[in-house]
Amino acid sequence: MKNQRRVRQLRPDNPKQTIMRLFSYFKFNKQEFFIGILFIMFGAIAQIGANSMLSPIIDTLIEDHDRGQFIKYLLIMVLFVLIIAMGQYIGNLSMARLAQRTIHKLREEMFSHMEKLPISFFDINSHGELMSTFTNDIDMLNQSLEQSVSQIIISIITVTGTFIMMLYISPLLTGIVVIMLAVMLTSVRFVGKRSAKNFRNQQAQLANMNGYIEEMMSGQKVVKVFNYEDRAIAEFEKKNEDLRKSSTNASTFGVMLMPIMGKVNGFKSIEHTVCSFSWSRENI
Amino acid sequence: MKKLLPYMRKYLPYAILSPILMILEVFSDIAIPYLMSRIVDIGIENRDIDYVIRVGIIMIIAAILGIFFGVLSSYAGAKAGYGFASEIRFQTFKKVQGFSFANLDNFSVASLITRLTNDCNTIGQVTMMSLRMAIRAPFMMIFALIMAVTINASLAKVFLISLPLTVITITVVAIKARPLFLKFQTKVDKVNAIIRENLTAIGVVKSFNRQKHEENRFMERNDDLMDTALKAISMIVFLMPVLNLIIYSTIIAVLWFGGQQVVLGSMGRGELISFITYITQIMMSLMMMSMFFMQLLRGIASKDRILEVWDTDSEIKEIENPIKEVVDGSIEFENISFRYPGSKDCILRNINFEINTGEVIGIIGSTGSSKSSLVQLIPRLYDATDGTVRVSGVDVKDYGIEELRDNVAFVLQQNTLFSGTIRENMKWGNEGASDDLIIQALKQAQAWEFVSKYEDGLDHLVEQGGGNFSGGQRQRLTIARALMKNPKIIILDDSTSAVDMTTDAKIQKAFREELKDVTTIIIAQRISSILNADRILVMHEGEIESLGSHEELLKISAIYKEIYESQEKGVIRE
Repeated sequence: MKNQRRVRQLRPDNPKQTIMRLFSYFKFNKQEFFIGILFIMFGAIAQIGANSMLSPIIDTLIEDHDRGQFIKYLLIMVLFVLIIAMGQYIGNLSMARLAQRTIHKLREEMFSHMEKLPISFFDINSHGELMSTFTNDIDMLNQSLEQSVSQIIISIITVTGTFIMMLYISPLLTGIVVIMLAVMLTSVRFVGKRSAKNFRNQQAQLANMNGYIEEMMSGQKVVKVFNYEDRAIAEFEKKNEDLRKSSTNASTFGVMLMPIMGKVNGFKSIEHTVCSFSWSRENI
Repeated sequence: MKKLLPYMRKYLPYAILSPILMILEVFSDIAIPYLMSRIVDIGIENRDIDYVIRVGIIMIIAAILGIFFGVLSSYAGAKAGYGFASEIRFQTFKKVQGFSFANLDNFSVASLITRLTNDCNTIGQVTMMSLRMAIRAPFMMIFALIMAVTINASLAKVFLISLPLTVITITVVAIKARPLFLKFQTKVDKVNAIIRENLTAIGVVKSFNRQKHEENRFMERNDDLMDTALKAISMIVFLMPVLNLIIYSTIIAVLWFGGQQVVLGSMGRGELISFITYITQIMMSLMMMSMFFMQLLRGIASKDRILEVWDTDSEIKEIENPIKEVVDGSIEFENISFRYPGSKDCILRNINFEINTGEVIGIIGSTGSSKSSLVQLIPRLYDATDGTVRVSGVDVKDYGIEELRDNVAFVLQQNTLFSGTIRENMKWGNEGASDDLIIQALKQAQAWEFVSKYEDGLDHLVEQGGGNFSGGQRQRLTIARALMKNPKIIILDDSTSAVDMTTDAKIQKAFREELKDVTTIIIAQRISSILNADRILVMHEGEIESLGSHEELLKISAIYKEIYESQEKGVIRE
């Protein structure tokens, strides 16, 4: 709570800075962090390994009729699969543990810090916003710690690994895929720009709604004493409708990305088939 | 779910449209690999460029159509999901508005807020996902399964093992994780409750030097929360690796058995490759379902928490054909005993006394002597466990609740103001009040002296909770707000504790002189606040110790005398 501005922000403005800050929280659990990352990496690499074993396995079987080699490849694949499972289990578990311990520690620090702040601080800052730091912001941090970090690592490894494999198998086809991805990314960016505006609007409405709920729930007994229920309901209905509209707009643009990304993945799996097919043809 | 579903009605067309469009998208997704295999098998095999281009164009059209349907489906899904969430949120809010004080005591404020915000949002998101993912995944799976069986029925037998195994894994994790997630949420509420307590009462914590104690209390709950979270996580983390293990085992089995068949010549090479593609598709759908299912767990936990609110009913009920008019401000307590709902101990016993209309009654007693509990029975914030409370000679239970509370103004200890202008806050007591009326009330509560100093006067902004006013100012504003009701009875529950003595005396004077007909009950810690009351009630451990004027009490009440002397000494020392 060093800088009070952060309390008011719903989403970080500067992703780079936020990520760096995120990493700085790992200092509480260095060991867990490295074990987690290491095993997530193992898992991701093994996954590429297992996938790229498919072509040689089919080849030995069909072209070489070498049963011994076939079994050997199959065993290598089994090994990869075991590493995938172990890597994912230990990796995800450590990251989740790390996330929990970090936010546990963070919550503790925030609370004892809060107890030390002068009373004037609480007069200036609304309870709702401080409360939201404790709940929403911590929640968001938890999610990023638990998922984002491992997702970033997996994505980087998968993308580079797959790219190398593809380049190795067929430079021409790789070129086509790269062009296709570029087209997709441009369209995603187009949609993304429009959605950013809607998203900000939604966040504003959400904050507005949450603020109102917070205020009304905290003063609910006063509401009862003043027979204010009906008026509160009428106002709530208005705000609720505003939120519904803006979140529908925001998420439509957001969810639009899903089918588009889905098609990219679809083409990628086709590429995969083609690759293994051409691989076997080249070996004829 | 049955209880929630009717609130989907308004968005039903979207809720139906979204899955239909989704299925169309799935068709496109399944057509693309098929067309691709045609390109490979026929086009490339025969080196027929025309064929490749022709089928390639069809493939691109299929992809564009798929995106089109997919986007429409997203739109319909978002509309249905968020619409549903907003209906649920509204119903929940309405329900809470009907809560009694006892209901509000049961649910902490923090938990009500999470229910209205996070839980409602989760329900919306899960609905959206259900409409899309829960339809897409099974369809993809069934279609890919059909393709796999068509290619090689004997090889497809592997699914007889791998599919049930997957379902069992998911079910086991589901059954084990669900109670953990429910527990997790209650722990979150507990942590939030203590943060909220400390935020609202930081002054008290500091003045009693209880920081260390509060920190320890917090740490205990925080540890508890982490332990529960870790348990829930170790369950969930299990899912992905096990599913991956099943997927790859299936692929390996297919390679092994299919490999034998290829060697024997009973299966083609292309067939084996496409078979493996279908395995990935089937298993991807299963993964998607398990992802959806994790979301569903969250959704169910949220649903349960929402229903907890919906299933709670206020025990304060209006009778049929209630009396709508409160004639005067006389009050009568007859054989009252009271305990808080759910608690065993009676905190009020044998209360019998009458208050005449227009009388000023002071109530004093040690903390825990149930002064507040006693007066809360008058506007039916709680109902007496036994006995009858009468206002103007009529049992309070026979009045319409709204009429009763309009005539009995209650200034709570929790002196919350709401964000908006001072005028808006004053209008809580009387929606159509003129500025003159507001200023009159502010003057009576001695609040006008500081409000009039603001340049923007009644338009001066109040921050959430009234944080931009001092405690004393806040108390005076809340008294004025209560006066706006033009009540027959006004109850001040320790409402001048932060007001300085001189101003306090002015408020007493205004009440005596300008609100002669209003029955006034003042609960106070300071004897000076009730010194001039017509009668003073001394409470001790839930019973009336004595009743009389200041002079009388000094003679007959040991407790009163003790309080008086200790406070007198305090004044002299000051």
